[in-house]
Amino acid sequence: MRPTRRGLAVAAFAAVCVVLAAEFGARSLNAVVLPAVVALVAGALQAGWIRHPTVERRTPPDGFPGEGGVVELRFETDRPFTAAVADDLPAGLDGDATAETTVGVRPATYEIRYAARGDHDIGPVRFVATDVLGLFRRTFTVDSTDRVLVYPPVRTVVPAFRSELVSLSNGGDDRDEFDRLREYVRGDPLRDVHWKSTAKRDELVVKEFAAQTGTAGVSLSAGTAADTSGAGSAAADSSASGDSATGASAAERADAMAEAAASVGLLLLELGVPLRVSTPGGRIEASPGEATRLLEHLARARAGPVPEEEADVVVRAGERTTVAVDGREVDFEEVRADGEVRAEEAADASRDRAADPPGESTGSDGPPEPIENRP
Amino acid sequence: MTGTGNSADGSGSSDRRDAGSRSGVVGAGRTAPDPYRAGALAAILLLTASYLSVLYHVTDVVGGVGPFLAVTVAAFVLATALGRTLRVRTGLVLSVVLVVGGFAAYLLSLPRSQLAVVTVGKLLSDTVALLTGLSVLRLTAAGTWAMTVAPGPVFLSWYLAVRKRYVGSAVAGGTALMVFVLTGDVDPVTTLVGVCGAVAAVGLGTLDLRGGSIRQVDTLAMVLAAILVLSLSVSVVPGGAAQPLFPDRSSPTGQSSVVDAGNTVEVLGSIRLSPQVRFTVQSDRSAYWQTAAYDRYTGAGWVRTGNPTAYSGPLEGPPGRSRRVEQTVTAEAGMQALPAAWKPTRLSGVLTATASVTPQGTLRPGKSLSPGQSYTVVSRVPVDSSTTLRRAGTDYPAAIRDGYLQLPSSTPDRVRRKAAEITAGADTPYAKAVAVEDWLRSNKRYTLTVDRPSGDVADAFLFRMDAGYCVYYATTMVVLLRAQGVPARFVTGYSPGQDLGNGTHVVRGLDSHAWVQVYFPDVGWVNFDPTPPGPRRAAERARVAEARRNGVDGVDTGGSKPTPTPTPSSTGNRSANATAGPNASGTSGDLPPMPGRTPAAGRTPAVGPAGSSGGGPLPDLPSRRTLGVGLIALAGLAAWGHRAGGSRRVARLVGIVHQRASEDPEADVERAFQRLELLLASRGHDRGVGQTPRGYLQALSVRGVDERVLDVGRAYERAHYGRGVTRAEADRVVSLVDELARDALFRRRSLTVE
Repeated sequence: MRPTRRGLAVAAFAAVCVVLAAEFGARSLNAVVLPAVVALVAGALQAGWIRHPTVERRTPPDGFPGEGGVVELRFETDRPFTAAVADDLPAGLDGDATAETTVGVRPATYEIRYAARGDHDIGPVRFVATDVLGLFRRTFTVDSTDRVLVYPPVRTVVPAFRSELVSLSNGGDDRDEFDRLREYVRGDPLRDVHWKSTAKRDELVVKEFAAQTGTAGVSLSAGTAADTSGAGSAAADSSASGDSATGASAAERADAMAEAAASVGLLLLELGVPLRVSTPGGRIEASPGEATRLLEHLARARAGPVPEEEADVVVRAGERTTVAVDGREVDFEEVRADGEVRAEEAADASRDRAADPPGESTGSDGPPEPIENRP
Repeated sequence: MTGTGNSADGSGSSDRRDAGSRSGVVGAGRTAPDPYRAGALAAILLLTASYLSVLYHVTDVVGGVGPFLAVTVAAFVLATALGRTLRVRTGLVLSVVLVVGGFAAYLLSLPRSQLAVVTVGKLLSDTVALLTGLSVLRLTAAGTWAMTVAPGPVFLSWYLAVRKRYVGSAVAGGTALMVFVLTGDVDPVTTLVGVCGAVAAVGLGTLDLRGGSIRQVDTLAMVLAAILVLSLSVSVVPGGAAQPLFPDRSSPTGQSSVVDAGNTVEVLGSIRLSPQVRFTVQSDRSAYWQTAAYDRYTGAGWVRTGNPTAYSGPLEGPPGRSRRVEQTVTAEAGMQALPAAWKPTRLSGVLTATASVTPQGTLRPGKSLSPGQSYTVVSRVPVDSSTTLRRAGTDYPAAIRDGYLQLPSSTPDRVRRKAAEITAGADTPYAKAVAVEDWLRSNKRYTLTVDRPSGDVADAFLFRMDAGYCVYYATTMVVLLRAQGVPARFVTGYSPGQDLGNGTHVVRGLDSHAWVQVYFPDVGWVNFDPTPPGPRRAAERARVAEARRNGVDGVDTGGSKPTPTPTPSSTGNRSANATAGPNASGTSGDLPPMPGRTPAAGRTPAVGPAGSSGGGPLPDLPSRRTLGVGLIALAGLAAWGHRAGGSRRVARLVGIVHQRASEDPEADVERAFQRLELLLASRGHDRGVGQTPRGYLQALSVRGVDERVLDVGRAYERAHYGRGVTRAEADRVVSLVDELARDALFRRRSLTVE
């Protein structure tokens, strides 16, 4: 327990008053000094009697970088007190996690924005509690942590690469199910051009094929290229949250790997392809509709060598990030569309979000783009 | 940061209303902030009222109540209007403009002669003097000062409060209050009210901004109650009467002398005077040895305005005819005054270098005189005959009219009517003065034992008291004369004392006196003494004789002790013609209480010269205040009880123990059963939700319970479901429950067999 600046000012003021009284006469200074002393003593007692409250935290749902929401801290205490409350935010989450409130009367809230992929622990909560006049403060911490998962960002890919994945999902040339006609987009294979329709219009029209159901599934394996000078082993030791600082380059490569794997994997799931995903952190299977499983796994994925070199799709993050489909390797840089976040997920996610508790994502900067796809 | 409007966002322009509304959207659940805001605003108003009351008093005494109220209200309105729109920085700038502008207006309003000598150094030293205890009332232009100084703090404090900057608001208001605490113009109770306002504003303001709870309000109430009770009953601050630092006077020693020609005179209650010798005067004529003159009447006492100037060479004598009187005064005890017959013109001795002259024309020493130190002063005593005085007319100089006709505007009308009534037959100022003097001498009794009156002293002495001492007589006479348009002032000093016959006058503490000077054009100030001389002399002689019998030191000096028997007339027949006033005859050995006063604490023996003013004028706590303290303490206890949930507990206990009988036996039994249930619940045997009374009793009987409990239960079932109960049966059941309650609550017997 320590006096606040205000408390020190009051004490100094009272001392000056005593000196003035001794030097120049008491006047009514007693009626100033005594209240100051009483207030200080009462403040010290109040600060001394403060009991640690229990804290219950409500976090926004897991999401993509750039998303976020409101964190709410609910306190339980039998003796309310005013306090500045500060939640401990990890580096991967942005926000001003402080609030001045009355603990025990109402919850404190603050907004966070997801900044980096990973498994982030929020908390513990630090209190700077003061008496009712703010003359004394007590600082203490209540151990209460909650976890927020931030998925890797997901990119759209150029149609050519998409077609490649489609063909992978169809197991080669098996393109029997005609879906619809659409405009030609750069990168479409020429053999898909529907010449008959093209002849009727002024532009190229291509055939699109529906993904074949009942595919046996595709294996996707992702990893990072072993760095020189043993950074690989260091990366392998890095924690699952992926944000620990054992080699910035390893963490960056893990992020790049997760981004590419998520972009490719999510697209495959959307095409109706069941996935077997393996990363240095472990392996999962995800059926179409289980995008969250894939995203959760990749959110935690860490650096390390590709566990399954012979997989259908191999994502490898090194100097460059490459995606090999059936052994044909391309730069992920080249196949991803410019910085766009996939629009389909945004639509799906907004549908899911409607069921979420109100009072979220109403930050002044407008709602972040939710890209979650929960079953 | 979201959630709560806070006080941390420094620049804070626009602003907390946003923060508040946003937190509402976010769902932080603001719990009805309005009562806290209302409370905080009320507390700020209380604080504002505390220091405005001082300024109001000043304008009431000096004049200018109307303009003062007008500018104050204007500042309030301005702050309220701008509070919601004006940015804080602009508001602060505006406040500074108001404060500086007010001060400039004050300076510009000063008379040109005064303005000419204003320098930065002088302003600084004046400010220091004010902040070390110089009463605002001593400022020559106190009324203007009050009016110009008021808008700044009022605007700033209220503006910040409207803007929810409660701490800043309390600091602004508190600073203003603190100025008046330092000048000594505000009494402890008013100070306390203001301080509590500031504390409450900070506390409630915090609760408003952060959404507090009723339990914190309880805490705040307890703190406030403790502040009030302790501040009214305990004193922690050292120091006696105010001793301002004057530029022309070194800081006086802490131990103030009893013979001090102070700057203010507060009218006190009972006093007891010291019989010890203060000084001796070697003079061929007896006179009233004057130490100070006061021009401003506050309703509760007297204030001397203006600062003394250094004594440099001979002073002007009175305008009329006068006689030269040379006096050599030797201090017998430490003293801070230069007693001399009116009007002193020339001072010689070592004190000359440091002495100063008040604007009223009296001399002041630069530092305390030590015992044995002496000085010589030459006075020109007016000797005009009463005929001259009658003819003097009313052509008063402007300075006299401005300074010596002042009366508080709150002076009751009956005082003015009384003045007109007393002076009904008198058509000259002289005749009026004589009439008032005679009336007071013959209509009021002399006594040293009085209760200090509340309210206007003159009004109280005229209408509510039938006895008093010289301060009351002199104050009342000045007020009556001023009410009649006769310039008069209140004068303190010493009566001539014991004349040893060889020109030596022995002056004791009990010779200190207060009388009146009336101004006559072309004559100057002339002494009048409305205090009846006979009873005073008697009291004085008795006091000296008593002190001699008890062997009090310092009662006598030189040959003042009567060798064979005390000559009854030793203080009787001196003075007459020497004492200047026309009515001076027989006013010599007055028993007069002024500087050497000692508030009598019961019947304590005389206090020595040094110790007599030790604690400063601490007025007795009136019973009203004691009552107030008690009430506040009760409120604090109630808050504490409420906080601890005590009220509910007490109510429940009463509900268990007490039952009022009704007409209906069934209802009585049911009520008795409810009490039993409460009683059992308080012992930890609650009836479960949905449990029938029968099931409840069965459960209890399984555990083993007092047979009487089951008895009551059966009666309840009969009353509630069965054929009903008789009156006798009901009474039996009620008394059974009474018994059970007594056993369980007061004899600590268990109702169950554990």
